[in-house]
Amino acid sequence: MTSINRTLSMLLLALLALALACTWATAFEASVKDGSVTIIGKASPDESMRFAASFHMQLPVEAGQYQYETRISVPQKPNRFTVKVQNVQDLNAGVKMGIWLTKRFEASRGVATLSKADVPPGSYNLKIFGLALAGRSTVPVDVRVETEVKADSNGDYKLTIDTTGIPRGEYNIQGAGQTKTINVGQEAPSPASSQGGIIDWLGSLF
Amino acid sequence: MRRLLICLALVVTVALAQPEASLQESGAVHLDDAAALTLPNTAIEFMNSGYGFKTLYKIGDSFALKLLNLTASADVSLYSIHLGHPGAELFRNELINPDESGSASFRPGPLPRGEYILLAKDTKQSSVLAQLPLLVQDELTMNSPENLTAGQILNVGLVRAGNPTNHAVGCLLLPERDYNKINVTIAESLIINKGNLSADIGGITSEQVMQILPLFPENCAIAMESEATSPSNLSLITEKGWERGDYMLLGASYSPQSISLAQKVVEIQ
Repeated sequence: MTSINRTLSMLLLALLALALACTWATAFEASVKDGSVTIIGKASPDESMRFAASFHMQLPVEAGQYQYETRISVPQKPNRFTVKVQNVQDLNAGVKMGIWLTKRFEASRGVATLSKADVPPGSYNLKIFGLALAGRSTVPVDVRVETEVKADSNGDYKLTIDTTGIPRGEYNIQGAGQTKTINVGQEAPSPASSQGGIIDWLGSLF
Repeated sequence: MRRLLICLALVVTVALAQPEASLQESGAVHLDDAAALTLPNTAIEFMNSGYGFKTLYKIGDSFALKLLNLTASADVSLYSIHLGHPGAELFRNELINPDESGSASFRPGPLPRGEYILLAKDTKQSSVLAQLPLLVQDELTMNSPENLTAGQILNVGLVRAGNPTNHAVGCLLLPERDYNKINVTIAESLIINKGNLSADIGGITSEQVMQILPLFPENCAIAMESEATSPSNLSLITEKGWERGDYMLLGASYSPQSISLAQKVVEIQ
């Protein structure tokens, strides 16, 4: 019995040590400076680490419409960019790639989602707009970007995400089995004017 | 999606109706339908020939092809074709005789939706009198303001007849001046030319869509919806810095059954 207990204790200690080692190996630190979030961590040599950064904002509804304009920095491939809006009839997402290219998404039960993988990295002007559901005064928007970073031969990795101008608030970073929340951003978007059409809200999502 | 791009490329070249077109030295051809649209900058390669324009009709419309200055009877054949694919099927054939003034008319009646080429030959000399590509489409109604202040969104309503349940729609806004500079060739692939710039589209990937974007000036906008219902509403983004003047608004709808095109002029103020 004693022998079994000793074995079990050793096994538990080994598991605990392994868990601590894994925690140490995958922990990351996130810091905010000069309009960007820098993620630094340690992983296994040459390991690929996936990270997702997301934030939530509420857009005001005016004359039945919601709208937001910003400039996005899409990180390196592989990546995925997702915008989810609620309380809406539709979502129009316009990206300026030399010319304005707009794609419309019909909402289902008040929810419309744009999700695009492997977007060419770079900075783009983005406009999202559409019709809100009748009687709704705000449109909740969730924005999420996913990307991947590869550790070097020592297991070190570093990922920088441009956050210049994102609405002030909480910015969630998920990766390596952890979620960290940091406060970043500038002033929240101001309401649209009543001129009709897209209003020049400036800022950046990422 | 490829067909939608072809639609968009086609509508790049839609022009106002040109009901009369002289095609051959041996005679002239009148299209007895002033409501038809033509595509003067589009070439369709078909049976080793290039056809310089395309004419569109709505399902249910009738038209008459009137041949003038005939010296003998004319053999008129209507072929059913498919854009981007070789081969054709003879849909209708008729021998028409000229009257005392040398004119004769071919009236095929309402045609099913589809793409056609109308060939008329002089039976005496075997010369080609007319080569006329036709597109018979479900009517596509495009509603938008007649004018717009630069910087505003142009909302476009597209209503396609035939009640399609799932179709792709797109629209394009570009300066009328640039619209007139773009040429499209439809063969095995789609070739779009503007000056020294050219894009050859063999399929639809993000990279290929990127290829055609440099053909358009910055004061140009595209909007699309992949799985649309009719009516559908698209929004084109304009900018305050856009040059003022007349712009061509072009709309397209594609479903596996057919394509439909529409166009109108919008003034940017």
